[in-house]
Amino acid sequence: MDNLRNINFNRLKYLIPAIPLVLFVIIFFLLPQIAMVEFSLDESLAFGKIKDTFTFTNYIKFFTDKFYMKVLFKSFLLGLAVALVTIPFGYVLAYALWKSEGKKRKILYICILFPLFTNLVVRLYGWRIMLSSAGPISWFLQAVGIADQPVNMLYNWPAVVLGLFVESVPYFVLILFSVLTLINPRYLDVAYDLGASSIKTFIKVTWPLSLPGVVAGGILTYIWSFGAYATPTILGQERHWTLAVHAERQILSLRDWPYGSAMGIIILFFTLLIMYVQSRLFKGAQTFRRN
Amino acid sequence: MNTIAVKLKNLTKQFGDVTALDDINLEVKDGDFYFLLGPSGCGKTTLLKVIAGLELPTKGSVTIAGKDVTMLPANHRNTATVFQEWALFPHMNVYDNIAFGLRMMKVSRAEVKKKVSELLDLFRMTGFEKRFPFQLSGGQQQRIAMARALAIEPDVLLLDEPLSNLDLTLRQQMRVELVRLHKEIQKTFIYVTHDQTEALSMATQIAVMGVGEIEQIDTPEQIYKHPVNEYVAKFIGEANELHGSVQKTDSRVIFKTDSGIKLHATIKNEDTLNSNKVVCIIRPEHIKILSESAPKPANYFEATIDNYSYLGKQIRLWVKLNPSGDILFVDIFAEELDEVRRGKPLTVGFDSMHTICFEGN
Repeated sequence: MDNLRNINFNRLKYLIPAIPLVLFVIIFFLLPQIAMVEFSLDESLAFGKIKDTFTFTNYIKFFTDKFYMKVLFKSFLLGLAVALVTIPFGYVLAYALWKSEGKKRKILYICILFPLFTNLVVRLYGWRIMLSSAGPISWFLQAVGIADQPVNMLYNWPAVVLGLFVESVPYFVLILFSVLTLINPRYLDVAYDLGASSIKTFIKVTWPLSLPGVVAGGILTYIWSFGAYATPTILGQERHWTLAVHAERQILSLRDWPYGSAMGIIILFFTLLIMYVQSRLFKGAQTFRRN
Repeated sequence: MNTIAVKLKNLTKQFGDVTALDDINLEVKDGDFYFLLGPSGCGKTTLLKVIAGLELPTKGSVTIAGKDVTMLPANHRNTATVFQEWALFPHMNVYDNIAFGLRMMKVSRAEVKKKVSELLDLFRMTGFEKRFPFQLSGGQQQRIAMARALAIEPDVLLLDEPLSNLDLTLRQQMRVELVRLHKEIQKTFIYVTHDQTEALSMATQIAVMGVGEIEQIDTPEQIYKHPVNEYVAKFIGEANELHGSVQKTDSRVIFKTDSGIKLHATIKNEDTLNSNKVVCIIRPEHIKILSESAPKPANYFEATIDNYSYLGKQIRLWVKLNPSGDILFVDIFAEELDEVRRGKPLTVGFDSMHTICFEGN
């Protein structure tokens, strides 16, 4: 009996260092989420008043509202577009970083990290200047003769995609780079030694081995864009808003806490769903790392 | 079988200011099991990479099967390497791993299949086609790495410490298996190792490497019996080491140790006579325990057992020579002494031909 208690304790003692993290997640993530779920099941009355009940009205309202279904679809589309732009561009950067050595690698690394040193909103206002009709890009297009009058590239869908793409790239590169560094350089030596050209080596060895990084980075980019808030509001118009922006409007502008909370929970649900699908779909990509 | 498979001429490789290989010359005959033996950091792996084409030499030339391939990149050379950690492609199963080189050569599907099954048969791994590397044991991975390299029918098979990641029992088993394989397929093998036992037991030729240089090239037996210098003598096999100087009177060489005893000795090189830092090497198996009636060899001393350790069928004794206090280690069979204890007096002796003097560094 005594032995058994010892064993149990020995197992449990490894969990002690995890306590701060668990507490953090409970206090700052789980409890607020529970509050949100509770709100979402309440009924909203006029002038921001809330009736404490248990009803799925808000969810039913959401999924039967054509407008919000369209918003949801467009949020998915935005995430997809940003991921599709980020993956090839980010891959080239991560690959270059991986192949570089010494000082060159350090400089490249800093260049990739540098955008993260600036506040997101500040960066987005920078892009607003860049893309405006009085901005440097417009000026350049006129100077070269491509455009004969000032060009406004703001407040449209590509601007939102561009903004999110620029935000996602550093994270994507860091994730992919960390996966690339796990590839034993001997694999490339072996492929080369057995007669593969560098292109063949990439297709047959580097690409499949880096796939877990592409998937992880791509999913992060997708989720980031799906739930984006600042970028669509600063670089886009109302019709480019994601579900996250609408949730915020519901709560702060329309003072409908229950409906806004329901939207928040719906965003969370879809985010988790995407991650779940990814983990199921790309299970094979991880297995060979087991050694 | 006496054509040259690989010839390196004046090969030098520099990494920045560091000279990894300094003017290497060697010839590997067709069908050799050629060993590059040296301590870690001596440049032996670099040398292998230069032969494979994975590194380009700074100076000198590489000839494989009569063709100068110095500037030919690895993917156009008909060599194949088995690396220390085997480096099987983790995302491919056994079949695809072995087929990799053949597919790069655009061999037909049927032929790939035939060749792979032949190789699996050769390595007794039939039935493992669908397994992934992480599902294989170390020994199995090692065999698949060999099969993958041999699939492209290389002129030379290069092996970079392929057994060092295996445990001792498996390593000993694989040594025998590799020698059998070498005889069976009659290819030229170049094998890099720091393990002298491996080299002595498997090689047809050994090149002993110092830092960036080759110290001696010969058969295992010749290298063990007739090392050309102190470095080789100490690197290959175990040996006692005494320091002192040598004199030659008439035709006899006398080694005088710093501790004051004189030994009849052999020199490999007349220059040793002029050196005041001479190292004398005596192998433990060459020192005999002498019974009273036994004929006395050139060198013999009264001694006492200072320490001993059982090695199974053998005992290693550390004996203290009475006149000088020098301690030599001696390997004897357990039955040669009826009693082993510290302080036991005995007589030890060794021949002058086994008392080899070199110029010290």
